[in-house]
Amino acid sequence: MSVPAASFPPHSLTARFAARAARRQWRERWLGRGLRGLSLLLALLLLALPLFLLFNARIDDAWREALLPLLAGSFKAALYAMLVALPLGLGAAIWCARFATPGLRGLLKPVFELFEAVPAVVLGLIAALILAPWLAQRVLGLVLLLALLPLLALAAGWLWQRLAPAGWQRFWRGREIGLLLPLAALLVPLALGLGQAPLFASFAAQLQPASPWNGLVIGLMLGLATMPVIFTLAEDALFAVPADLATGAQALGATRWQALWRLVLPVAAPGIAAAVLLGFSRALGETMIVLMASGNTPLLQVSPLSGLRSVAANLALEAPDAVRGSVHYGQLLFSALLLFGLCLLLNALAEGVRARLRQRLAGS
Amino acid sequence: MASNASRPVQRRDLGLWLAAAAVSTSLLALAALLWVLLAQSWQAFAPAPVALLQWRDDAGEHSLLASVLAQDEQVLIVRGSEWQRRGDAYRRVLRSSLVHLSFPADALNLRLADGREILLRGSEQSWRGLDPQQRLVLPGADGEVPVRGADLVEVVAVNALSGWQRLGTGLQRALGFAGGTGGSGLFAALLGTVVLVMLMSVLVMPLGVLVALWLHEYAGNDQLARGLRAAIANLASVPSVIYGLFGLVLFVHGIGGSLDVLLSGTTAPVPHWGRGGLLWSALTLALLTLPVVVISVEEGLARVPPGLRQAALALGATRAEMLWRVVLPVARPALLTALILAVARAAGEVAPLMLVGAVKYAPALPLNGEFPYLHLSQQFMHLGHGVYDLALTGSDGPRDLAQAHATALLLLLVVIGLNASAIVVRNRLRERSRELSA
Repeated sequence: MSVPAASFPPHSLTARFAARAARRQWRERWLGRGLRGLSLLLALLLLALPLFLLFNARIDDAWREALLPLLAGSFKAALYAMLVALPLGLGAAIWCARFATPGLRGLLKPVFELFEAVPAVVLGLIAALILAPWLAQRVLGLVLLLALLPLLALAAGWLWQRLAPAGWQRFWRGREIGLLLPLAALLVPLALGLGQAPLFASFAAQLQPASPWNGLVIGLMLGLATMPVIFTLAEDALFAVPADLATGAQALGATRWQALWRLVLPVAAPGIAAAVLLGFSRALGETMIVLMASGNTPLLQVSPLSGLRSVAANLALEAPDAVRGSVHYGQLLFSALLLFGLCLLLNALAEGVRARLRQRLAGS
Repeated sequence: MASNASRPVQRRDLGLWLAAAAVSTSLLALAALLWVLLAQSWQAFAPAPVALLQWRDDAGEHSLLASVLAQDEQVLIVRGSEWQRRGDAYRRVLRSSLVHLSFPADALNLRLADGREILLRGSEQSWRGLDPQQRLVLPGADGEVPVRGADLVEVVAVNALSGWQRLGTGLQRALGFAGGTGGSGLFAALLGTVVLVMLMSVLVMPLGVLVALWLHEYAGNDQLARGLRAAIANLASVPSVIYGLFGLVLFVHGIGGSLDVLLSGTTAPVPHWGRGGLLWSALTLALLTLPVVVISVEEGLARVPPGLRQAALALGATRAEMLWRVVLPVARPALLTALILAVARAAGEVAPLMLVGAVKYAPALPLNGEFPYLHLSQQFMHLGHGVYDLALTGSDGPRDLAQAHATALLLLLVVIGLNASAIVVRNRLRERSRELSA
């Protein structure tokens, strides 16, 4: 016996599904549209920011006198910072990615990442109040330290490879910084003491800085601040190079350093170049360290022993008091636009170079 | 050279030691920075020994009870009782002019609520349990010093303290400083920072998550998505002070200025919205942290295993339901990471705030019991800005400098703690996504 379909009692679930289907459809459609609209709004806002600067920026004939020392100051600070950050950041990246034992790498990498997060104002404070007055008396000691440190490392390595028993060498392989750290810590007071020795008094007098707040202090502290940026990016690039490459080279008789220098570094070169570019961009735009420790004197001098005033620090100093719509205001915005453009350019370059690295790694 | 031949692997391996030297130098520099910060912060709170000094100069013979702050072979830097004003009693005393120097065991250091320190001799007990209304008689004061029992914060017999007691007193003072509301406390700056960062999170998190959701789930590769991706990637490389300027031009002068005109009809002589304030600062910081949020949320969305999405869709969920019920809950740790990273970035940022609203001293708190409780247009105090101000424009030499370091240490602890927790959360997320997709 069959029952006609129409006589089925309408199931409550079917009805509820039918009612909900419309609502679900509506929700589905409007979530997509809403998200798209929001993104469009954000894109417009982001586009508006530089345009706003552009429309308000103004230049007059005096811009050359006003802006040139600032630009020169920015570049001076960034260049001296790179002199510190490049050897430290790249050396540390090479060591961490390629030579350190996995355990040591797992320890060092977070330390450097946390270092990157240290607020600039803290570093600026130490640079301005502690480092600057302390360093003013010890420039020669610092020069000696910087000269002796690589020599010490090379000598220690040479002696270690010559004299240490093979078992020790095997144990310390990948942990060599454990040997070097106490040596370097010993060298610091030694070199600084040597710099203060009466024998070198005439040299030391020549290296007396004009002001304690100078390019040298900025170079050291800004270099330390940008070092982790370079480290993180370069380390990623170096670590991404397949391990087989280096292992194969070492199996064929290359030393660890040769494998790195001849094989890994060329492959990772675009990534390292990107790291350098981004580090430079960061140093160019960094404000607080330069603001606090550079003396903020707009000088056109290359010497690391004289002060400087950078575009970014100038903005932080003068923009809060600039009268809206005045010539000064327009000039400040123009300098900001210049800095903005420079950083964008460096970033775009770095992105382009990094795309090449990705291609290369995908191809290999 | 026989030994050389037996170990050929060690040829020209010295460059490696240079790399090791770079690591060692960086680590030493980091340790030195931390050490300086800790040592200087301790200076701010360590109970300085109180000396009885007698010296002779052109003006005759002097005698003074004073805290010895620093000394070398030639001079002593001391601070006597601050009868009138905080920071008005510093003195350099030449060692050659000293007649007498002793550290009496009954010397007392009285600290007042406004940060002044008064040095006396006597017994600690006689200063305990005073009536708050009682006027205190301070022996040795030059002129009238109106002080009541309630003003007295701390009485310590400094010279009689043992090592542990010194540490305890120092830590107690540090806690008092971190939470203090008076002239020299950090409470206002801490509250300002917290309110600012919370407001920023409220603004940036929904926007960042929704945009990341659209970019990762809906956009595919159309023109708008590509443009937005490029804009956000480039935004991450813009110097923070430029954001401050954006905030100043767009929010403060643009929107704020128009709001003022709109609300009051004319250009008010004293701008209300058209000057730096809490809301504009939060908006500026939200813009600054947007790339951080979008990038880390996108990374988290990419880690959600495709099997989960497919299962949800196969069971009849629409895409919106799949995202809301499955993908977002699984990616929740990524949202948390994004939030923590954004907060850490914002908490340490000072340069943009100098342009859009942080001030050295704000008369009122941004969050208080008066309607409307949260004062969006008000200027506020901020930890990082406080470090800058104390360091460069402090009125009370050594003490402000030491307190600047203590503030910096607190800021550093907050930021490092946030970042470390972000790293932990992210690692846990990675493990979980590996488990889910296994």
